[in-house]
Amino acid sequence: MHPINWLIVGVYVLWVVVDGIRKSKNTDTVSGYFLANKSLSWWVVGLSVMATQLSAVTMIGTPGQGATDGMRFIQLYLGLPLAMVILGVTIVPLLHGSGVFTAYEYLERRFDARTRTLTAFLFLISRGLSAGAIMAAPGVVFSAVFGIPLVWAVALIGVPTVIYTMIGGVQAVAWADVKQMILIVIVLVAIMIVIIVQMPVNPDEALRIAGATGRLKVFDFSFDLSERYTFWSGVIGGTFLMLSYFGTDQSQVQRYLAAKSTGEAKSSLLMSAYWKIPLQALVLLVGVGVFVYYQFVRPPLLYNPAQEAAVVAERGPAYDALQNDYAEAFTLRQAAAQAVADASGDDATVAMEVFVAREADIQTIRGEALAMVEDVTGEASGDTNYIFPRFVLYELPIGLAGLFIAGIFAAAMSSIAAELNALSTASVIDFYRRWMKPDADDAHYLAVSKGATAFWGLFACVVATYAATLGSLIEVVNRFGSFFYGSILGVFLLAMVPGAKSRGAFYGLIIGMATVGFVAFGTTIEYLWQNVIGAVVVLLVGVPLSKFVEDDLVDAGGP
Amino acid sequence: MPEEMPGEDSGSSRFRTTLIRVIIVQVIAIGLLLLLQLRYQP
Repeated sequence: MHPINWLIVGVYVLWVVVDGIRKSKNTDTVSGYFLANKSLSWWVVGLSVMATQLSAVTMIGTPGQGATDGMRFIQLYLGLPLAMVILGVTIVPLLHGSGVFTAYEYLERRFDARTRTLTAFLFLISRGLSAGAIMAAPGVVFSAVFGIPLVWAVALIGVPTVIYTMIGGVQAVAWADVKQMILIVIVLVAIMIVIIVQMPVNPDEALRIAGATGRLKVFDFSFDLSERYTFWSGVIGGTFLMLSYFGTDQSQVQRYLAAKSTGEAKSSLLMSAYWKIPLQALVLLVGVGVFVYYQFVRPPLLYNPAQEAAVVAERGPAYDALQNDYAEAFTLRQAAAQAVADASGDDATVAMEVFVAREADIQTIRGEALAMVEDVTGEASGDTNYIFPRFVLYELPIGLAGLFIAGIFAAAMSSIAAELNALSTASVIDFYRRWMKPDADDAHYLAVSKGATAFWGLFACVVATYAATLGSLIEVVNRFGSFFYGSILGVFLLAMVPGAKSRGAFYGLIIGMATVGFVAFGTTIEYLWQNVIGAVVVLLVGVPLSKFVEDDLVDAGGP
Repeated sequence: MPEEMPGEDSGSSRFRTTLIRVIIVQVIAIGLLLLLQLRYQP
């Protein structure tokens, strides 16, 4: 990468860290460190909520998904606005008004200590590992694209994030998120403009080319439970997923607990409701734009330079022959794409059919190249995550590429910082203060909190470093996470049912998770629906258990 | 119930105003995406 691009990245990361440390004033109490003394404005919290959700995977993988699969991924977010509105009138007033530090702390007030401890424990396990996975995704891409060892790539992202999170607490995290969100939007808009300007066809023609291959099929109205993204799984399953994520996951709850009033906390969530779908549409459209751009500029046969180098070294002649076939197929597809752009009326249908056939030829050749990668490296084939970084570094002007890399850093740092901050909070508030040392002073808890942030940061870095070899394990962990997301939401919903008791909550949670585990492994029902199933089972089990079975523990009070 | 915080009224009124805007923006965004599909997806 050009030195100017590196300079931009370096200056940006330094600015985030230094400003984060500057923001560490008034964080000498537990409330200041974890909740910013409930002083943040709605727009700061709102941007922080959005930045936390938007990880580097969104910046790297989602445009790649737009380029290869089109716009349909956006259906995942259809339930988000509704979820935010529901949270605004239910869980947000409940949590913000109750003066808790964590969502799980509220569960002890409403039910009992074991429900709190179990949910907090599940959060620590899943988010601790997912912080590593979130760090690994950009780390692996940086390592391959820049040719640096993975451990260095992980350290480049992890070390500055841990420093400002550890020193500045939630305040530093929130203000860094504001900068990061602004940078990410600027970068995406700038890249979209550059793509439009550099493409040899006009936007109308570009959209016709994209539409010919199905990439503009946004909505699928079929009601198929085994189809991952449909309009209905997005609206119904997506609503439950977003309710779980924003309503019960400490990494998000902590953002709006820091708002200066309940009203400001509600408004902060509505910012995501406002902008998430348009923003996600922009990210996917950038990917579709890259797809059209590459109809006229020959892309590499393999997007991952490290994999390409390995194949060239091992299978040089065979790969060269494939490259020749690819060059010929590209020329034919380019002509077919131009024909789609130029055609009108009945000619358009014929031109599209030819183009689709030429595109299929290209995909066949790419499939052979990816199979070669699998043979040579033993790694699973697929290089979707490398399409966008490769495009940015090779096709965009100097400066914009640096801003994009800074944007990836921003996206990674904002998500990881929020998770480390939340992990530290849950470790200290739900375990250390609750079970080990309930009567210490603020200075003591503050020191332990900073130590916990450093510990989780180190843990995430280690997981990220080994993520490449733990690929399948990470997948299992992510899947395991989805087992209890809906069930934890069910416990919070149960908390709002008058007369619900701790026994109903605890056993409802366990049966809910077991049911989702069975559905995940024993059926073809897609994961968005599992959130609905988990929440509903907890309610179906928890309500009658509360009504007909006496609690074996005394409720700790509550509303 | 939680204590009302100063500025709660303005916060609630902002919530209502923003809610109406959210609905409008979502209808426009989903409508545009649907138009995109209907216009360009054969």
